[in-house]
This record gives sequence, C-alpha cells and structure tokens, in this order.
Amino acid sequence: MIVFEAVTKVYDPNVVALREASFVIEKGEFVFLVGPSGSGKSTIMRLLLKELDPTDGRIIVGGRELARLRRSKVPMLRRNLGCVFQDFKLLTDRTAYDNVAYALKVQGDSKTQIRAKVPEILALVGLGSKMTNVPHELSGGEQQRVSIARAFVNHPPLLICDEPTGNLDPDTSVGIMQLLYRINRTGTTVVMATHDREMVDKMRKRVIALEEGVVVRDERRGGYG
Amino acid sequence: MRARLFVTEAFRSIAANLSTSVAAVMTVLIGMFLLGLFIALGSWVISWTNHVKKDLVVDVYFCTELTCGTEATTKEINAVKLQLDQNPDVKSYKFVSKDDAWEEMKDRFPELTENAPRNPLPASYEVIPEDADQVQAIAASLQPPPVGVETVKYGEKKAERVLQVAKIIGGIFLVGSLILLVASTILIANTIRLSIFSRRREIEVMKLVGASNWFVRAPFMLEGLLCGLAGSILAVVLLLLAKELALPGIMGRIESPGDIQAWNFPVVALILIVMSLLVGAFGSGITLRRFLRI
Repeated sequence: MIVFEAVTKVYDPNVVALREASFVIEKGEFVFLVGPSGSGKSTIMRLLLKELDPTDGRIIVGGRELARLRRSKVPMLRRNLGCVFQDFKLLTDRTAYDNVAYALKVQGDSKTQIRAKVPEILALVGLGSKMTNVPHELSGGEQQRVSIARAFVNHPPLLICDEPTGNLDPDTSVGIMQLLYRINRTGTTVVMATHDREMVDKMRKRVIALEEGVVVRDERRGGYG
Repeated sequence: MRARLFVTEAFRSIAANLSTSVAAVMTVLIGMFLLGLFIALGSWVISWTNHVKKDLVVDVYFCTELTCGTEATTKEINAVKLQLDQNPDVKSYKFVSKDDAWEEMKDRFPELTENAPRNPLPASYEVIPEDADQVQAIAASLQPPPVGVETVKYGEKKAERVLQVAKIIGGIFLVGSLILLVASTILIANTIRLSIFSRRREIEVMKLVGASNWFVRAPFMLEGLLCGLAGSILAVVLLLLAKELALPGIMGRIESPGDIQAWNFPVVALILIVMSLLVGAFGSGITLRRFLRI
C-alpha cells in the first residue's frame, strides 16, 4: 500500500525532518507512527498527501509513485486517501452533514448519491442525530467523528490520521480508536501518528518509531517504547 | 449541474461572510462612483475644449488699395485657393468677398460704417483646419505671404492659450483616470485578498479533502463577480441620481452650447460594470493562486 524508500525531507534552511526513512506498509495493516514532537511524524503524513515533496527518495502510495504524479492529479490522490487531523479541519460554517457532503461534492457525486451516503456514514460514527449541527455545537470527540466520517465516506483504501486523539480526553479517545479499529477491520489500511502511549501499548499493533527524523524501530506487535 | 453547485456555493459563502462581502461591495461602489464621476466630468471638459477649438481659424487677408496699393487679382486669389486645396491640414475654407465682409461689419458696427465713403475691407479666406492644433502650421505654410496676400492671421495668443489649456485638461483627465483606475483596482483586489486570507484555512481543508483548484476557485471567482456587479450597479444608480438631481441645478448656471456633451451615460455605466466584473472575478482568481499551492 505504502512504500517509503530512503526518503529524506529537508526544510529550509537545513532542517532535516526526515532522514533516509524506509518502510513498507501492506494493505489492511494498522500502523502507529510514534515519536516525540518534531521527530518527523507529521512530515510523513504531509508527504503521503503530497502536501510536500521529498528532498530525496521515493514514495509509492497505492502503486503510484508520488513524484511522478502531476500536480493536477493530486486531488485524485486525496480522494482515495482519507485523512484525519488533530485539529479536525472541519469547515466551521457548515453543518456536520455538509462537511461530509463536501468530500463527495468535490468528486462530482450527484445529490441522490450524497443523500444516500452521508446519513449512513454519520450514523456509522454515531452522529445520526447531530447531522444539522455546526462544528462549534459539537464536542471535540463529536467533531473528530465528523472528520472521520468525511475521511471514510468514500471508503478509501487508506486512512491517515495525524494525532486524531491529541485534543481529546482519554475516554473520548478510546471511542475514536474503536471507530478507527472498526474501519481497519473493513480492510482499510490505517496509518496513525500519535503520542498516546497507553493506546499504543493496549492495541498491540505495528509500531514505527521515529527519533529526529530517523526510523529507530519497526515492530510487528509493538508498544510505545 | 456543476454550475448550479458553484452558484449555490458562492451565495452560501457571501451569506456566511456577510461583513467582508459588504466591504467588497462598498469598495467597488466607492471606486466606481469616483471613476464614473471623473469620466463624466473629464469627457465634458474635453468636449468643451473641442468646442472652443472649433473657433480657431486661419484668416488669409488679400491686398486692397489701401494696404498694398493694388487690389488682389482673381488670379492671385485662385493661386491661394489652389495652395489651400493641396494642404492636407485644411479641412475646409470659405471665401469672404469684400462685400460679404462689409455686410458683416455693417451688422456688427452700424455706427462705424454709416459714414464710410467706400468699402475699405479686404477679401479673405477663412480656413478651418482639420485639427485645431494645425492652425500654426497652416499659417506657417503661407509665410512669406504669396503675391496678393496682405497678411495671415490666426489669433496667435488665443490659439496658444486654448490649445495649452486643452492639452493640460486632457492630460489631467488621462492621468487622473489611470490613477483612479489603478487605485480602485488595488483597493478592490486588496479587499478580496483580505476576505480570502481570512478563509485560507477553509481553502486548505477543501484542498485536503480532494477539491481540485478549479473547484475551490470557481465559487470564489463567482463571489467576486457578484460583489463587483452589486457594487457597480449601486455606483451606476448613484451616478444616475447625481445626474438627474444635482446636474440640472449646476448646469442651469453654466452657459453650455448644445454640442458640449459628456460621454453617453450608458457608455460610462457599461465601462464601470464591465471593469468591476473583471476586477472582481480575476482579482479573486489571482489572489487565490497563492493559497491553492497545497
């Protein structure tokens, strides 16, 4: 699903965010990216979205090499790749329903399709009764559920999550993790960057640990460290 | 289908960002009102200088017994006529015979002509130039005066002054219009920029969920277009009010011959509306470029 081959990313001026990182993530895996702040987790996320281009090395996502992907094709990449962020990144002036619907509108879905898919996915994340609320009327956990619904409404083969529980209390985090786990069980590859030691230790999933931009550990059923 | 989606998106975002939308409309309104006022005023003044320029003619006075000792002969007059025919700067000319001149003199100054023993006035050509600026050139082409011509006059002082004033007014109008045009463009573009800048997070999110650049851009451009349209229509309405209500009061006091006219109001209105639409739409589109590189 994802191949990183000796990927290096240097920000101006001479800040090395990622140094020759290599790993392969198979289809259907659940992978934690762990490490302290500034270790390069978010850089990997942004590289996967082609928000950034690597300074050196190769990245392959879903069989396509990102460096060869034309700028105009980037939206297509992102439609096949759900993303969830620590700060939710919801459109603040739209209802939960419209936020999810936007992801479908951008790829040209018809009204009928949107009307069928959005309530279904919102019910799946447990927000069936709050479709018409705007983000500031929702709790942090609920907002994150909206953003997961938006990321997953297209049923993308890959879901990348950048500290999705970073702003949430432990109980709410557990709910979000369960949701992500359920999504992973449907066959979706999930890559999740996190600080949440307890969660990683409990889940016993593959862990890729980063320190100062270097992959220092890659364990099948790892703990936080 | 897409188009309808963009229109609803544009209206949604105007409603959601009402204060910035109103600011953009007001900016367009002020810029276009001033520009419209300036165009109307400037075109009126230019029309006025053109009117004044029309009075500029070259007079070619032929010899009389009093001035040269002998009357100019028909042959000499025809030679000048030929010369005028060949001069491309000459638009038209009128022969004023001795008798015509005398009649005119009698009309204008009856007490002077009453006791005159005979007609002392010369025959002349009244030459109208193609362009008022050419009076000097035409006069110069008749220097030294051909045989039979006593003198060539073109009201030097008046001509120079009128032409100078006309040039200055034309220049001021052109420069002023350009400055206003640039200023209002920058002002409008800046308002759009602020409105887009305040929504850069929104744009980032749109891009991250896979919206193509055009999908993000189209509603914004449509929004700019609508704000431009609203602002310029308001400006046109205000200008129309000014024209209908204020103008008669002012014009009543200014002597204004019929051939002095500002540009047609519909033309000015059309210019303003088209300008605002372009600035609104392309201002938004160009400003967005920076935020779309995600």
